[in-house]
Amino acid sequence: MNNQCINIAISGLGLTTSDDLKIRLRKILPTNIGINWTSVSDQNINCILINEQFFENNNIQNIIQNKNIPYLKISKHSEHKESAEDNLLCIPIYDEFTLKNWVNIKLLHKTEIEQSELSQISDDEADDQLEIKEIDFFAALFHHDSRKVILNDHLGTIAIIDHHAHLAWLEATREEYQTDRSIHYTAAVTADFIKVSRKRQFNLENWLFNLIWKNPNLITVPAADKYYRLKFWIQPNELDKKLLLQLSACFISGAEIQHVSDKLNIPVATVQHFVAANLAIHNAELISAKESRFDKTPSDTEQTEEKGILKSFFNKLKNRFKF
Amino acid sequence: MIIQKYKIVFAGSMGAGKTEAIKSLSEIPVLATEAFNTDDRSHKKLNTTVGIDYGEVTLDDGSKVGLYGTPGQGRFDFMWGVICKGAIGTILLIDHSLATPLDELEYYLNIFKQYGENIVIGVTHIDDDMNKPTHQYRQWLMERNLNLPVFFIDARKKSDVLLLLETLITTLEVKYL
Repeated sequence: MNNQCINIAISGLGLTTSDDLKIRLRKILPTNIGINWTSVSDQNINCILINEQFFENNNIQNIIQNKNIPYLKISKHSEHKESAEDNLLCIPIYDEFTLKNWVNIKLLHKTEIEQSELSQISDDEADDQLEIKEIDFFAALFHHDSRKVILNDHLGTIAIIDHHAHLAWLEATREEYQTDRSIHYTAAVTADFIKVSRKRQFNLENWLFNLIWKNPNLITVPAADKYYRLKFWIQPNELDKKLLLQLSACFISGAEIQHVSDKLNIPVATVQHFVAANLAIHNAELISAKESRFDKTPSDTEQTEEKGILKSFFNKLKNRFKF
Repeated sequence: MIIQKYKIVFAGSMGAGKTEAIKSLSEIPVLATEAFNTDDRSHKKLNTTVGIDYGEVTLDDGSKVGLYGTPGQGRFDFMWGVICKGAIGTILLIDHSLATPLDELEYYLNIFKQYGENIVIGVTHIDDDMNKPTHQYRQWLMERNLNLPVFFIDARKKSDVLLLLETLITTLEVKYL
């Protein structure tokens, strides 16, 4: 495992072909190698995918020769005389053999040489060496001078966000909620939008919450004896739906972290992480104990009987819909 | 009209997907009362519900939960109170692609809040208008100190409709247990 990111420029190709190549390359390259999708004007490109018709262009030839980087010509010839050795790939792609071969022979061979000059450290070790993020690191995203901000980590671009419009556009070939403590951000420029997919836009708060939630060692957490209240319900990811709905239902009324942990019988660290992720997206506020409304119903005999009936009914509903 | 002991109500603007949502959950063919839509200023859909959509699910003990879809047009509002009486909760669907979805939200919320406080809001047709921010719904609710769940869904997807239903149930469960 190593800590490497490749800057790949795609030039002269339509959006559909570009997206197809990006997705295939992401699947072929090892997951520990990050990809930054960029343009030929980038000074730090490591590789070019170029429409064959523009290959002889002086600018492209200068880049390839001066930087001595691997390239792949993309051809629309119907004869499909493609070859990894000749750096030629025909589209549409019927078989990934040539692309895989080219990645192994030309791209990975090249990067392996570069890797040998780098110290080899595992992702986990690298993550441990990096400082845990403060909640304010994420909260400050919403007050960044630039309304559009690009988030990166050691695997490359994660997303571009617009904190005015509350939107996020993701790097399409990555897992939606994958990152680690190497995450950082800066103002996005127009050229950065080549790195993300504009086909689908995400609600910023939903995406950022789930990004933090899915990475438990990413940020610091609040003390267990504190009370917090949510401002709105976050839309949960499918896998953690039940837990996130339960936690939201507790904290929307204002609740103490330890109390929720005890009541739902889940680890306090999980509840702390939930509140931390909500604080990071400005969706939780510290409240006093007396403002808390969670679990305040008095328990007398009549209510206990009623509770039993309700509990039985809820269980039947949950069984029926497999919640 | 079949009135079940346990009811879940689907309400909201015309074309928001109430009939589709009920179809995705119901274990019986939905009794739909659709007619040719003559109100094309409100929505361009060809057919619209003019009576009550009815679907149902059966629980392990044989008891039925009725799924009731209210007609989206305001002239049928006299039926809403009857349907909502004693309901487990209301799933309110709002079509994001409408010109003024917040006005629709306000209109339906003001009415259905009278019948019960367990309401979950599903905003549909998000991809049909990417220029309007989805955050506006949360902002609108926060400004009015309303902490109702609002989720962005596709009413044709069973998993999305189940998210709304699970939220209704979880809200009650956490509140009363």
